[in-house]
Amino acid sequence: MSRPETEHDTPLTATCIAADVAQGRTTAVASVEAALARVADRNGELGAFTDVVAARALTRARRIDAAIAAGQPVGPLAGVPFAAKNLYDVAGLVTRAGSRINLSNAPAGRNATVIERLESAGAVLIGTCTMDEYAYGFTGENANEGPSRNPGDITRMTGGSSGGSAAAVAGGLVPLAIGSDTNGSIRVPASLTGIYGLKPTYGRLSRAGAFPFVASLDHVGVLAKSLADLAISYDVMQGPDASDPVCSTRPVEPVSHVLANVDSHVPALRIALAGGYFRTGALPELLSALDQAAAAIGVSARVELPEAHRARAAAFVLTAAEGGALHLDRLRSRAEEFDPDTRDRLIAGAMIPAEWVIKAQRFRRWFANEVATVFRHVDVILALATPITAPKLGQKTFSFEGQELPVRPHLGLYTQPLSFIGLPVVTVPLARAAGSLPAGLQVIAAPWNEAAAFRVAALLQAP
Amino acid sequence: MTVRSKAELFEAHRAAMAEILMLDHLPTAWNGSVTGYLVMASAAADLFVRFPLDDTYDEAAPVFTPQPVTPSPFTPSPVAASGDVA
Repeated sequence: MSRPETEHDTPLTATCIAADVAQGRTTAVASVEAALARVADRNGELGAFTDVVAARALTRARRIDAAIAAGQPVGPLAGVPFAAKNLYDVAGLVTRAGSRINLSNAPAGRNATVIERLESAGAVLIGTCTMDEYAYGFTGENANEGPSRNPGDITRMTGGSSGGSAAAVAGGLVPLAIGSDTNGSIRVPASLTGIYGLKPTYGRLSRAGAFPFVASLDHVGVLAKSLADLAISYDVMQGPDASDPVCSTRPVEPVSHVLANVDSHVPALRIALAGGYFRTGALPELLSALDQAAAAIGVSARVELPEAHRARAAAFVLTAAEGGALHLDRLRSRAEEFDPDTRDRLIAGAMIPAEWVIKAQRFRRWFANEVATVFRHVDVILALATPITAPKLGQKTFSFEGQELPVRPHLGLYTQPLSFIGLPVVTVPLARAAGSLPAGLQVIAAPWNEAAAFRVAALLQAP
Repeated sequence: MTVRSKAELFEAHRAAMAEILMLDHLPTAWNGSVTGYLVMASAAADLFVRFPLDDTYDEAAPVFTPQPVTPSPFTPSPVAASGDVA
């Protein structure tokens, strides 16, 4: 039976759209037209997209429909509309990276690797999404592009820096969107908007064609409304790429099959809650929701990641210093065109002593070794993704236990120590009482063991 | 000796570094919030710069790994091929 979408429909999942397109219950063109209609209908409210590539998308959709008519293979994401954070190259578009300055650059000559790979699997790019300027932020606010707005309450932040990608998915404009994560830029917005997010192991997905921020910490990842969509999009984006020197030469290690067999073939996994640092500074109601989610799958043990507060501090210093160095020429010549908040942090970053940077890198190795020791005894660790729910747009501080704390850095409290050592993390929405703002938990695995994180994420989403 | 606060010390550092980095022509480089961010970064650095680590080769990233080179196809010149080499 046909399930045509209209601009007012709740969009289907990527998996469902692809099956419908492949089996002729709908067409790629209809799927893309419905997504474009949803964007036209809601983007003004959500601030998710900066560039919509309607003609390009419809041309690709027609090719997919023609291939199906000719009996040719079309890939596991045939006709699935998707979006990309606007730091990814799209041939013919200027790569904004959330910046006014970049608008004077020439359009990209080719697509970013991960866009190519999604499109090779049949997915169709609809457009590119708003973000914090140059990915330096956790709020989704941007003086140039305007803020992305949380679909659950448009007076609130999406979180960032992949804020537009999160708004596009959580708002139902597209079933999946590519983001990037340096210190939490996928996990924070996934948490605040109540969707799934994946930050794979550092180096797992190619960054070729992505505008950089902090080379030693930047990860490519994806946000989706369903865990199955997260898995299949991750599977098709994997693989070596000589264009990114950090991209691993490991073979593709798919995870979609893990979700299909989660009940019958899951070997016993040792799962624990992160204690200590990861239980400090959070709203009690979120810790309680985390504990309930863990208890529902029989988890109550706790482990400590030693010196996590120092790991966060070292990530903060590396971010400021590498970001400052990357943008120094632009700061010299076009400082007035930066978002003032970004500019002042980058200038400060450019002045950071070399000793701090080198010692941050040395501490990184120590911390990675210590955490590896923890993972010899535990397969997966659970922690909150954000210590608070979505703040109001423009909110600078919040009250916690009698103290006024700054919103922006606090949003990355639990994500930053983990990306510092490149661990794979799946963010899963927490079950919350009706009317409550969303929040997510992090399912954290040892490097290159994304499959374990997906297995536990599947257990957590099971009723 | 006068004891100076961290903010004062970073104010002096910022003034010098702004000149060294050729940012001193920018009014924004003299924004007090830059000093504020440097003080924040300094507080962060205090948490790990004195953390005891052995003096070993342990740089984490970015990692530089020399890559082997595949030579382009070699076509011997007529002289070399003849073996008539002085």
